[in-house]
Amino acid sequence: MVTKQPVAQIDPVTLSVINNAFVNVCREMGTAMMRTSYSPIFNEGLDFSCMLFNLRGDLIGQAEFCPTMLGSCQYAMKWMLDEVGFDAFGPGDVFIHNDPYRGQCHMPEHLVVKAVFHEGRPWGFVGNIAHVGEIGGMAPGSFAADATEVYQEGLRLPPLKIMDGGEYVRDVWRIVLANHRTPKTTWGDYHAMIGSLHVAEARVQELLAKYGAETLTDASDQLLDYSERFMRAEIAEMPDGVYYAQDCMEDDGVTSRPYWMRLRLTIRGDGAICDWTDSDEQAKGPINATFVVTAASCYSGFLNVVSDDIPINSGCYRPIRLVTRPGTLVNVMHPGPSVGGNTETHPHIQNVVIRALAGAVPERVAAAEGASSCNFLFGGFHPEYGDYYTNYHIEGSGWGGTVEHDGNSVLCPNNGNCRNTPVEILETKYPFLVEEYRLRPDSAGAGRWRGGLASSRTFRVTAPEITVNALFDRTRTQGPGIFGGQAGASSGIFIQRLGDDRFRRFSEAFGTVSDSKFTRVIVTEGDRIQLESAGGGGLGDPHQRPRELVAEDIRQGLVSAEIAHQLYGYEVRDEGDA
Amino acid sequence: MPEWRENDAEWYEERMVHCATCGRMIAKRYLAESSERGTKTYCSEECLHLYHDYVLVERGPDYRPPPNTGETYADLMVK
Repeated sequence: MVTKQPVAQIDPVTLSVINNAFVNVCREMGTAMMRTSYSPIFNEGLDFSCMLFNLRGDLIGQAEFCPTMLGSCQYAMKWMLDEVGFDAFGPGDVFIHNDPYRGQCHMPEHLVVKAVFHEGRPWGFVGNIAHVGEIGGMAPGSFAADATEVYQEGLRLPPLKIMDGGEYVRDVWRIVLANHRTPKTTWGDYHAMIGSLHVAEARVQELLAKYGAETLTDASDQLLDYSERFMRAEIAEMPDGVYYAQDCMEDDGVTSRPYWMRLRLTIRGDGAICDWTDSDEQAKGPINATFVVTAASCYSGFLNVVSDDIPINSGCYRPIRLVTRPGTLVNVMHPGPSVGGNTETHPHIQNVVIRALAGAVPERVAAAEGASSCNFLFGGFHPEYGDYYTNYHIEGSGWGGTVEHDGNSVLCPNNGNCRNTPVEILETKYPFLVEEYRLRPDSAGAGRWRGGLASSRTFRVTAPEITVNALFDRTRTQGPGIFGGQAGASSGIFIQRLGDDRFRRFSEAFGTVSDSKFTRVIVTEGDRIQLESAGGGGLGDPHQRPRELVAEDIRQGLVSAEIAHQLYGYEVRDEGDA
Repeated sequence: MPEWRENDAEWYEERMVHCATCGRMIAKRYLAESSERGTKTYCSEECLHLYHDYVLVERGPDYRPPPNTGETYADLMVK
């Protein structure tokens, strides 16, 4: 579906300059968000994305933010236009929207949008999606890992106007702030989001003044078409065929059974069909992915194996088509919960797409990553500050080995592209002491190119009590290796109660149904909590790994001599060797 | 012949309409195709064509996946 032929083709240099200008507008929005927000998941974790849309709701500009949000935002934007109507947007108006059944990823993700006007007429939209760290619901931090319906996950907002001509729509703000546990933080983060829209609006108006609305619109359309042609050309180079892959979520926090996602990927000419029909029915617990999460996973799976030069916009998504059944793990239906579908199921789905693509382009893929954000949330009254606080904490995991290098260590799953929060920030704001934060030796899946290493972090509770929630996966499963590579280590969350002599699983210490997904567990001063992320899978036969690389891994303490011998066939030859 | 229709739910109602191909929810306008098997709804002409070119061809009109394939995670690790 190529858009209408523009009146005049814009020369490639100008097109490239305009594309880069769009990217820079989004980057500047992101800087504004980072510098003005209140919560660490914004200003340290960078769990947000900034984007530009045309009047049809197509994504025309973005930057290096969260692939989940960037792949899904066009659906949320188009839904908003369909539901509230184009005429609802006036100068100075801002709309907000977090409804997972209306094109959003999960409820914490909030899209705010503002129309940009030029000479009295709307030209396009500036928007951003950000993870609001506390939106009410049954669990502090709004990651209700044992929720069975959306109403337990927080406050659901269909597309609503929150700023009207630059003025607060106070009734909406009052409802929102009355339903979030930390309204001051929401106030600050919402304003960071809205403030970044003002920044982007000013920059787009500068571009409109420089190029004119018609040229900028034509450029946007041509960039969309160029991205589509580029992606089609990349897919056309892949061998036609049908490729299969699957993975599972180990449990849903409510029942102790795995839930499977199964892909039948068809490459046909210059297009691809991602058919998820055979996936399991939707889970009772909150591991379900919304349709847009699955779509974004498919897009980012492909973007991992095609040229880096494709301008990422709605055009490059067009050749990738989806088939799903509503009411399944990969397309949740109301009122099914979905908060973990975005952080946990998404990377699994993306890994399945890449695994299926291994059949078509084996030279471009990677093994599976740890694929859990290790969501750890907590809340309580701060013993020093007196205020009620909540925080959304994530851990980095190991990425999969690629055909060119080892997997990266301790990074947020690549669907999220978020940063780790520094220890100093955590300790300053919240009543935890980080006793240890380190790489986990031998956590990487062995391979010609090994996976990335996982991390281990130990918190000590320094408040009388803290309510904690967790939503992990891969605690009983592992990120698979590929082409003879081995799986990475599992993740885990453990507790050592004050006076106990060892760490235990939460099911043992507190009787939770799941070891990896639970809510509202109260820990007390002196307790220690250990978060272990998952390692990445290895790629290729470990025995093919060059001896000097194994030696270097041993020297750096990343791989033990015992594992080097057992999995890599490595023998220490002399004292000069590792 | 397929025809474009609008979800005529009132503003206070949540009436879910899903695309028969991609499965996404449809906000307002959808393409309706009636046959002896009933009416199917699509979010776009592309999904209408994909249903005929792919879903009907590869899956058939009444395809349902097997209820339990009996797989375990160990199976996946071996594969």
